[in-house]
Amino acid sequence: MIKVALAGQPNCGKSTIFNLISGIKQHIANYPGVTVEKKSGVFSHKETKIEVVDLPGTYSFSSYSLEERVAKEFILDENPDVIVNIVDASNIKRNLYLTFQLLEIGKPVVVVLNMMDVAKRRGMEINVERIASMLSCPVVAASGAKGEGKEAIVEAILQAKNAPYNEFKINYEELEPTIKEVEALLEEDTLQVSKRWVAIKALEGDSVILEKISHLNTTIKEKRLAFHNTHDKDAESFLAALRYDSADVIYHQSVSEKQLGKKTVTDVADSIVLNRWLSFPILFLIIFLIYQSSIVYGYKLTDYTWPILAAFKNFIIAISPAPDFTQVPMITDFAIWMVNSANALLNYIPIFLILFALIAILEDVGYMPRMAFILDRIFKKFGLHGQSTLPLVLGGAFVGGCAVPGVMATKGIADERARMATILSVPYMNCLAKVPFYTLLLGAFFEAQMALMMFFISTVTLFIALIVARLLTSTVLKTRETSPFVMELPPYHLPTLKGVVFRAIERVWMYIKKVGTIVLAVAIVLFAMLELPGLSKEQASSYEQRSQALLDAFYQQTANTSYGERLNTREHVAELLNVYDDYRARRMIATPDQAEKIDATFEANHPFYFTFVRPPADNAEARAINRHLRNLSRDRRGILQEIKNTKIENSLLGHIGRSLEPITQFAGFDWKINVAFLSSFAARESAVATLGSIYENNAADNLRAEEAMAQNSGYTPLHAAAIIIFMILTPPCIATMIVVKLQTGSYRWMLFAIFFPITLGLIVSSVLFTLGNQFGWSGVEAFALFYGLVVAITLFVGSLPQKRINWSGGLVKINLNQEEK
Amino acid sequence: MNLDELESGSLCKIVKIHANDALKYKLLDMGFVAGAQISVVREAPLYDPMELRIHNYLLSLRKSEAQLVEVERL
Amino acid sequence: MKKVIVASLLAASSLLAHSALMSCFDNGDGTVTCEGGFSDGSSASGTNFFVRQGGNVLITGRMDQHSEFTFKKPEGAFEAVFDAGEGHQVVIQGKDIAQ
Repeated sequence: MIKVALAGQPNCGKSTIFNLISGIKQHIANYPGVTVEKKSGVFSHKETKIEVVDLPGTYSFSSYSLEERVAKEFILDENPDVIVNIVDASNIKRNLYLTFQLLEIGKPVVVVLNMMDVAKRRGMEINVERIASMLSCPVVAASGAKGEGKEAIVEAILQAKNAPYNEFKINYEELEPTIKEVEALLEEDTLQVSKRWVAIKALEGDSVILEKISHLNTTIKEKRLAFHNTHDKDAESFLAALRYDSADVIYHQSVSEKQLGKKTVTDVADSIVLNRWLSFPILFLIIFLIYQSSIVYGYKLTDYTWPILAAFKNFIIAISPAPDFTQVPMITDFAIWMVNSANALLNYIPIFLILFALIAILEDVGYMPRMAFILDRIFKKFGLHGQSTLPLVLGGAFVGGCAVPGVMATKGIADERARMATILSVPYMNCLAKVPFYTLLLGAFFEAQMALMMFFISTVTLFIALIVARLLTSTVLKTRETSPFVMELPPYHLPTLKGVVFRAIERVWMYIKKVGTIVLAVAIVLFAMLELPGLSKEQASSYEQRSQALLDAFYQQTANTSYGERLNTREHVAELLNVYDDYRARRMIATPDQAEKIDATFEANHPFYFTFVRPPADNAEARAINRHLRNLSRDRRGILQEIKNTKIENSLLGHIGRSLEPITQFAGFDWKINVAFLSSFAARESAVATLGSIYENNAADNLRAEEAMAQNSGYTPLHAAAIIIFMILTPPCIATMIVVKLQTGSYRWMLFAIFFPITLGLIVSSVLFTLGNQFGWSGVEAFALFYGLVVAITLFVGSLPQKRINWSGGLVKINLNQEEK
Repeated sequence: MNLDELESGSLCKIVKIHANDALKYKLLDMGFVAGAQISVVREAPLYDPMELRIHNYLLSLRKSEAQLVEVERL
Repeated sequence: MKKVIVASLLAASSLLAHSALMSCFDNGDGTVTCEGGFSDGSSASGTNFFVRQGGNVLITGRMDQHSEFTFKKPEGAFEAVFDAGEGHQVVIQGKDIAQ
């Protein structure tokens, strides 16, 4: 088997080439011990198995970044047979900087000149053979985006494995004597790489190499110092300069540019997109369109996906033990609870699919670095980074997103301090799942000002995220490492369908995995906490008595009909009710043709009961019984509801909710609200179901859920405002917290990410509620005050000078006034 | 003079980098070697960072970082 | 411009609450019963319902405590509309309502 390492600079199309040669079977893991992703794939060619490992994209092969260290360690420890270096053909000079370092290692290298189509379009003529001869290694032309070059690349790999390594040497002039000295000091055979390379790296001060030859460290240090003193230049700068000179030579000898100086499409596009006056409007427009499309179209798609989920639920109910009137087996309750939890989350998939696809398009096109470029100055003031844009957008910049992919997207942020700040502030963005909760409360208490309130809610989150980011970077994150903002702005190019689809599916799959695992696990725990210990003996028997009374009434009503004898036992009635409920549930999600089929099936399977479920027009008795049946069903639902609420009251979670009341009362939360919050930790979507059902009552009234809540809860709009504010500040689901742990690598931060927001939320809503009561504020007033305060704090914080830049070499006190022009 | 002082559209040549460690290596990797030519494309809409063209590709650099690059106007 | 943004935010937000559902039955005695519901199981009682024919609204009302609405079947083509607000409307054609 041939082991191949794929190396290249960022934005050179390495992933596309990787996808091209290794097909779809990719395996994603992590490099040992770090959060750097390792992508590998295996394929066969001419009966040879080839394993390709995609090294992280790096501009150079030193050891200053985690990615570079990981790549270097892979080469030294795993000993690949061939290194394939992907080079952006339209950017050869800078790419060669890495190529040289790879060639010096001593392993066979195949250079792939990618994006040849782009180079051609820009009027570049590249003499591939010339480059090959100057580099002493095979060079293959390819265009990953167009799918061209796969055969040639794989052939070259096979040949390189068996061909002798041609030594590639750059004459480092003044440094050469020192290099030879160090080479002599290196033992034989310590590493399967070129001794010259080790010597050069050591003189560069490369930490990974120095670790491997630790016994020579003092000597190396002396030599570096000596060189610096003699030539008034440190070894690194010297080497870099010579490498770029060599790259320049190769470039001039093999590339002729016909259209030098002509404006490219990228230039034209940038002049609009980065225009001082147009950039922000364009930015907002793009974000707005993304959300608008994904929500509106995604919602249309749910019209098709919901019936599938509902059918699944019906199926689960069908295979669960049947309810016996008001005695519902716990298994059935449990099954329904689990299906509801899962379905609520799965229903969002179409929306997220579209959202993530659109964002992937934006990434592929190359707009993301431009966004970072535009927003960096603002983000910097709050301790964030231009690259925090994508995570914040994913987390929900306008209407709603999901913090799970948002936090995962922080992987790419080079600046450690900003990365941590982003991870801890993305959860404050608009979680899509919280929206139904807002809608319920707004519909109940703020119907007139619903639009305004929704606008407040959607926009306040970004300000909060910024404030929190700044707070954290000035306190707990103060000493984290930061990094310079040196970022390439790659040329725009058309996204590939494959790339976009892959990325969107990858992110949606991440979301589904969260449902399949974390949510369900937490849902199980929550079920136990909401059900047990269950009804007391007295309560149970009281409900049973009432149920019996209903049954007796029904028997009486049917006794005088010709069907009376087959409807006078509990089993009969229970079965009748189950058939009735099942029928109605299936009919609700059926299309007109399906409806006919359902009718036929039920009639065939339950001929007797169906008579009362769909009584024929001419059968007066059946029609009468149908009416009684409907009333029975409604009354029974009422009892079930009461049982459920009583169980919640008795439950473990109910007790916790009540025990928290002394604290939460200042925010106006009673134990029911506490329970709703606690139980929606698995998935915020379920907060609505819990809260809605607690206040739903079975009285013969005509109220909608919102109206029921407004009337029955005893809350005022001020309560609602406090509840909403708490919901805004509270962390989204458990899944987000797990992902925070994954990205920060520590449980400490995960716990911080849970308790800090909750505490903050509680304090803020308590203050607002208590003061609101004192001064008689209305709900809207309280909220407007909150909003105004948040914006004011944001503006204030933004104007504070930044005090520390923590990358070594830049410990500079920044005085912003100096930069203002 | 320093790179951050140049206005959009100007052309210059690198004299020396006054940065150390992380920033220096990053700049070297990206081609900020003595003698390299840089053209200032534009400033960001909010005046910081700056967009530069070097070795035929585009790069963004904060002014606080550009301050540490000594250049000679061309 | 702000109105557009706000309106769309609102639409978007209410869209996400739940999907609206409805099924209708011809009772065979000249009346039709429509039952409404929501995908998250919340009750539809109290929600607006109307019957429309050729652009005119013939009958309006709200779903009762059973989440149902029964009305006299109109002559000719008609539409039964479960109206739960912006973006949450379920329309069933009269011809599709089976016995």
